[in-house]
Amino acid sequence: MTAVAAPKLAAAMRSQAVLGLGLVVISLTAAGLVLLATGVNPLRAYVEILRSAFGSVDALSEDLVYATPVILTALSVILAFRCGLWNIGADGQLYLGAIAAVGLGFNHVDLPGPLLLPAMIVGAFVAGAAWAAIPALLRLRFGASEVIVTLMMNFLAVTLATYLIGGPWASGITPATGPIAPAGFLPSLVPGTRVNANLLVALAAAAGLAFVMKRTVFGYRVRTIGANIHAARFAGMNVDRVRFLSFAGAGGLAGLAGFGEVAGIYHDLPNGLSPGYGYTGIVVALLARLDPLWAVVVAFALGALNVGSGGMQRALGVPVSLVSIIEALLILLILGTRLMERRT
Amino acid sequence: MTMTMPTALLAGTAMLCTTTAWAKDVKVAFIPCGQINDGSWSEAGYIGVKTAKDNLAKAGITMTIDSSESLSPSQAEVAARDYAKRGYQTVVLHCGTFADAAYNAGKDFPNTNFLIAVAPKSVKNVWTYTPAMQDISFIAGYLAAKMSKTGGVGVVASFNFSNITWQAEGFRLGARYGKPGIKTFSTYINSFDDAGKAKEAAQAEIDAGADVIYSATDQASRGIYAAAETNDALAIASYSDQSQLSPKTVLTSALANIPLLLDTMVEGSVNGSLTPDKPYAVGMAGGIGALAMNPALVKTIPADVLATVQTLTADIKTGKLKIPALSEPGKSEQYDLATLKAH
Repeated sequence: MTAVAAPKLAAAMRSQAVLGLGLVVISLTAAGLVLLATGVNPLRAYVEILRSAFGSVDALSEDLVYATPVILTALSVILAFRCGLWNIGADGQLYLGAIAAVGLGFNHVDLPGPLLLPAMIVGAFVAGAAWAAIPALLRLRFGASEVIVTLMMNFLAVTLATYLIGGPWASGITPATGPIAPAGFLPSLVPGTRVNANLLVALAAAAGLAFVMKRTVFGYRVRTIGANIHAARFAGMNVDRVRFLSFAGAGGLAGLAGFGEVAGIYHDLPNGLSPGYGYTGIVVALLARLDPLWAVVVAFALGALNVGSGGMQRALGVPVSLVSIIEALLILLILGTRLMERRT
Repeated sequence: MTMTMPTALLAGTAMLCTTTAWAKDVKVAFIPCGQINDGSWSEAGYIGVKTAKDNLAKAGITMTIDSSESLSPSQAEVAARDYAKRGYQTVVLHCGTFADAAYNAGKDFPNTNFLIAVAPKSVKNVWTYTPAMQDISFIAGYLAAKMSKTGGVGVVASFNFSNITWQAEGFRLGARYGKPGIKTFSTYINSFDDAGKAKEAAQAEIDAGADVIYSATDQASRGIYAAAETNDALAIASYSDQSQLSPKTVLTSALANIPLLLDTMVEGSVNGSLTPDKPYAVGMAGGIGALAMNPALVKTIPADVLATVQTLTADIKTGKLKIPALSEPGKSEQYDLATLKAH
């Protein structure tokens, strides 16, 4: 680092710190005003959020349980965004991964126990990738908007899952499929909590994607296409092939999120499996500035916010909708700050 | 301060009764599928919990209710665990999809009672409760068969699982009881709230020859009424009195009396009277299930049919007639009607 660069970096960091602090103050004030208007003491609410999110091993584990699928859907969104495509369909791809994981998890083909989990994880990735390949093909062959196609395919995926839950795979007891074989259960990372080995899969995927994007030829091509598709074509890159593979890979990553929910949390496929993890992944990807490693941090922070605000709701008896308003307010403010940064 | 003899006796009794089960102040958490003002399943459950609170207050027990609404199954488990950790005596999970949440939390928090709607079993501190709707659905089926002019009746149900299937098959069995040889149809739309799907399903049944359609779904039932209105057919509602929604179409409503069921379960949980490991599937004998006739249409029902409805109601309540819980769609078509009275 040169003597000239060091002060510049320090000044940039100071500016970031001031911006971050300002953001926190504005967010807390805005959320506090909403709380005050409904007769809730904001300070008590913030203490409850922190306590519920970080106050015990259980609380921390639930932050991670929430973060795990969100990391994977965020990575899915990042991979597609990086090569200039919008993947709004991570939720549907998650469902396809879950469907494949459950279908294989029943183990009707009598796979040996140790092979079942690998088969489920591969099956979930392939199912998610295949589901994403459809909008990718439509985009690349016919120019169909991947935003609209992936969005519509989310509904198709949920409908397919609902059909299986109420039809051929119905448990007959609850609105869920029958259970998968015990050999298909992911082990818990912390006994007595729901944190399971899919967290490691998610972290490995984040590290892997960061490596691919920064250190491989494929990653370079993806970044180049995302930055300037015409320049990439001019440079002789097979743009369509790279975009197709990226989008299918993005679907595969979201499929892994579905695998984790089935093998690690539910051990079946319930009605209402995803409370919108695919859409939350978009928020995380944007907040993380399309950086796979930052996506892990942001997903955890969002998990903590979700778990913490849920705990606050239960402790103070405030309406659930108020919690949603506060969460949305914080996210909007962060995104707004990003926008301001770009303009300055 | 002086104390009279009766007061002293009361105080002594109260002290004797001061066990965990008879704590003076208890906290109960309510976690429904949707929102507590949904005008349907969740609201009915909440009303039941509030009734339990009022009844327990008369016995000197102060009950606090807190709720968390519109949660996913995964979030429901977080909430259930959190309530247990905060010392809630009872956590009510009023949603079939929360079964795993109840069992998992129940294992880790043995000092909290968990009540779970429509689940496979009761284990230790986890009790399941199910409105056994096949009883009242049987009577609805009988009435539908008697009112049918085409010789066909149908049911549009949400999901093919436990009590919903019991409900649909109970209706079809009742229709056969009312008119042997009648055509019965059932369609599962895999949704509680998709009115469009329900309308399509009802229309298909009407096209196949049904002219009375029974709703075994939730908000989606509005689609059934719309199809019935268009085709000049009749509909029978479920769970709550819905004759106001379609006064010219809804002949009657098969009430589930969810508030009574929840009241019974919560009071039982708080006062410690629930039987260990017993699944509570409560039908008409337990007060769950009644017909609420539409005042505008009741006069169209022949007097002898109404009289038989009364007789059937009495017979089911006293156990003279026992309606089976059929968990497989179509099973009612093969069921031997003669065995209904043999139990």
